[in-house]
Amino acid sequence: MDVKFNKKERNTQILFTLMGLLILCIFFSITTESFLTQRNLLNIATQTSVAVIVAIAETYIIASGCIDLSVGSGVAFSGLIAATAMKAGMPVPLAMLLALMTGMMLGAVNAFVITVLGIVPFIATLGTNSIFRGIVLVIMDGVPMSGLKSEFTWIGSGKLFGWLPWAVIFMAVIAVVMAVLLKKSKFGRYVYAIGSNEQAAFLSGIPVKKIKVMNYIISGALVAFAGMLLAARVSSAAPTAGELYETNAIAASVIGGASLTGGKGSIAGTIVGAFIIGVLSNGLNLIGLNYFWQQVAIGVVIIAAVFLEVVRERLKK
Amino acid sequence: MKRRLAAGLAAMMLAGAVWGCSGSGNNSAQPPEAAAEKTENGPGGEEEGAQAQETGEGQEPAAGSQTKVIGVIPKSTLFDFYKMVRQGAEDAAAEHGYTINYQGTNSSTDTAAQQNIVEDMDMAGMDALVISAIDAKAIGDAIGALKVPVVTFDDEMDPSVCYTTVSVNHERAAAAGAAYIAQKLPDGGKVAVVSSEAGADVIQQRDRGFSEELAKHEQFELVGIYHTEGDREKATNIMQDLLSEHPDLVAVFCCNEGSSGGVSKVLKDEGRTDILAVGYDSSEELINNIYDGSLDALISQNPYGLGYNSVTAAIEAIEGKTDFPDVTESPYWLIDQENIHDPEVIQILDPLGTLNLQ
Repeated sequence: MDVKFNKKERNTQILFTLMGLLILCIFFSITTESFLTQRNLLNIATQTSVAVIVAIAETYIIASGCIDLSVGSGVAFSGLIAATAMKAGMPVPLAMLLALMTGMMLGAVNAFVITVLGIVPFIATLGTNSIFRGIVLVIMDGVPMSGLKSEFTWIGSGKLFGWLPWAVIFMAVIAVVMAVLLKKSKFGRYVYAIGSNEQAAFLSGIPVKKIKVMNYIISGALVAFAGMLLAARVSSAAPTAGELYETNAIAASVIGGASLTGGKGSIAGTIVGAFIIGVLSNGLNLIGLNYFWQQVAIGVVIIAAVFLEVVRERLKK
Repeated sequence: MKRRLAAGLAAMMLAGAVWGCSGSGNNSAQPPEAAAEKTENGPGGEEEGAQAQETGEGQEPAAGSQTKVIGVIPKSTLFDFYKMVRQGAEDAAAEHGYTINYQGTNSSTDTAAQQNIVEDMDMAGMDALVISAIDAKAIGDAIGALKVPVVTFDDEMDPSVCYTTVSVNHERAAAAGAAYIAQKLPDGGKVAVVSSEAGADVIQQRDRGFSEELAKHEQFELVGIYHTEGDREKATNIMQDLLSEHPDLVAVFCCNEGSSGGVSKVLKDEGRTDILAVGYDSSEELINNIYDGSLDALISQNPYGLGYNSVTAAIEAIEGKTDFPDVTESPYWLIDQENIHDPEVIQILDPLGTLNLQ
C-alpha cells in the first residue's frame, strides 16, 4: 500500500509482463504458420478490443480500491439498448448516445449502492450484476436481436482503408485518453490516493465519495461503448453477451500489475494483460486445441503471471 | 429459497405418504404404462393427486375443473428456434383448450437450473410436461419421479421415463449437411465444424453425424471440430482464426443458430462467400443470409412443428392414449437457394408470416 507514484517500479513491472506476452508470441510464431501474419495480428487486436476497453474500465475501479463485478451485464445492457433503439427507428448516433448514457446510469447505480447505501463494492456489484442481467433477459425475453444495421455494425467490423479495423482504432484512442487521464490528471491522482488509503485521502481533503461516483460513471460509459462494439462486431445483441467478462477484466488488470487492495495499476499494464489472454486464446485456436484446454491454459497463465510478480517482489527484498 | 425448499420437502413427503399406500415405493423410474393406468383410473386417480397437492401446500388444485396446464421447458430460451417451438406449443394447446406454462434457462448448458425448473413446475402443478432436456441422462431421475405424462422433443430420452420423443434424427440431418458439401464440391478440400455446446447430447450427435459422413468422402480433410458453447462471439473469433490458419478452407458446417450467425457474419465481412457454409436451425437473419449468399444451406428442424406435435402428443397422453412409439421422428429440411422460395419451405421457416425477409 506504500506504493505511490514510483515510475521506475511501474515501468519494470510493465516490461516484465510485456516479456511474458513476447514469449507467448514467439511460441505461437514457431508452432503455427499463420500467427505472425498481418491478418492474424489485426484479428487478435479486433478480438481483444472489447476486452481491453472493459479491462480499462475495471482498472480505474480497482485502482480506487473498489471492484466492479457488473461489467459483463453492463456490456449486454448497452448492446440491448442500442439494438432496441435502432430497431425502433432511432437514428444510429442517437441510439449509441442513448446506450452510452444508459451505461453511465448503471455506473451511477453502482456508485449509489456503494457510497449512499454503504455496501462494500464486491457485494454491491455482485447484486447489481444480477439485477442488470435479469433486466436484460426480461426485456429481450431471452432471445438475441440479430441482423443489426450496417450503419452501426461498421464500428465493430468495418475497416479503415480496407485493412485497419475501426474497433482497433477506437481501442487505441480510448487507451491513450484513459492512460493520460489516470496518470496526469488530478482526478487520476485522487483515484490512486483513495485506493492507497481512503482514510488518509479523506483527511487530506479529497472528495472521496464524489470521486468514486465519477469513477463508476466513467467506467460505466466505457463498458457501454465496449458493449456496442461487441454487438456491432457480431451483428447481434444477445442477452448472454459479455458473460464472465468481469473475470477476464480483473485478470487482465491483475496480470498488468494492479492490486486488488487498490492504489496500484496502470492502463499500459492492463492492455498487455488483456492481450496476453487474447493472444493465448487466438494461438490455441490456431493450433486447434480444444476449448476446454484453453480454459485451463488461461487459468495457468493468470496464476503464473502473478506468481512471477510475487517472486520478483520477494527477490527485491 | 430455504422456505420454498422446506415447503417442497413437506409436500413431497406428504405426496410420498399418499403414494406409498398404493405404490411399491419405487418411484424413481416410472414406466409410461404405470402412469397411464393411473390416468385411466380417471376421477379416482386424479382426486388422489389433487388431495396430495392440497394437503401439501394449499395451492390451487392443478388437475380439476380448471384449464389443464402443460409445462413446456426448452433447452434454453435463447434463439428464434425456441420462440417458434413455443408458438407451436401454444397453438396446439389453445386448439384443445389447454394452457402452456413455458419456462427455460438462459444457457443451453445449465443442467442443474433446468432440473430446478422441472421441480418447481411440479410443485406449481401441471398435467403433462413437454421438455427438451439439456442432458437427458442427468435429468432422467427427476423426470421419472413425476406423476404426469412426459413428452420430450429435440432430444432422445430413456423411453422408460417418457411417453415419446418427438425429434429430428440429428445424426442423419447433420450427415445430410456433409453429403450436401460432398455433392457441391466434388474436388474436396479442407472442412471445419464450428460446433456448439460440447456437453449437449444433440450437439454430439450432430458432430458425429457430420464427421462420419464426411469421412466417407476421401477427398475431404476435416481440420477440426471447434466448440463455441453456441455463443456468437466465440464463433466469430474461431471463424476468423480458421480463415487465418486455413485460408484454403472450402467448406464449414455450423451446429446451431448462434454459430451459424457468427460464422456467416465473418464470411460476409471477409468477402469469403466462396466458402460453402451450411448452418443448422433457422432464424430471420439466417434465412436472409441464404438470400445474400453468406450461407449456402440450412438444416431446419421445423421448430414450430416440434412444439406443436409435442404438445399434441402430451394432450393425447393426458386423454389416455398409451401406445406411443419411443421416437416420433420429425422430418428435417435442407434448405438452399434453390428451394427457399417454395411455399412449403416458407411455411416451415416462417409459419406465422412474421419474419422480415428480404
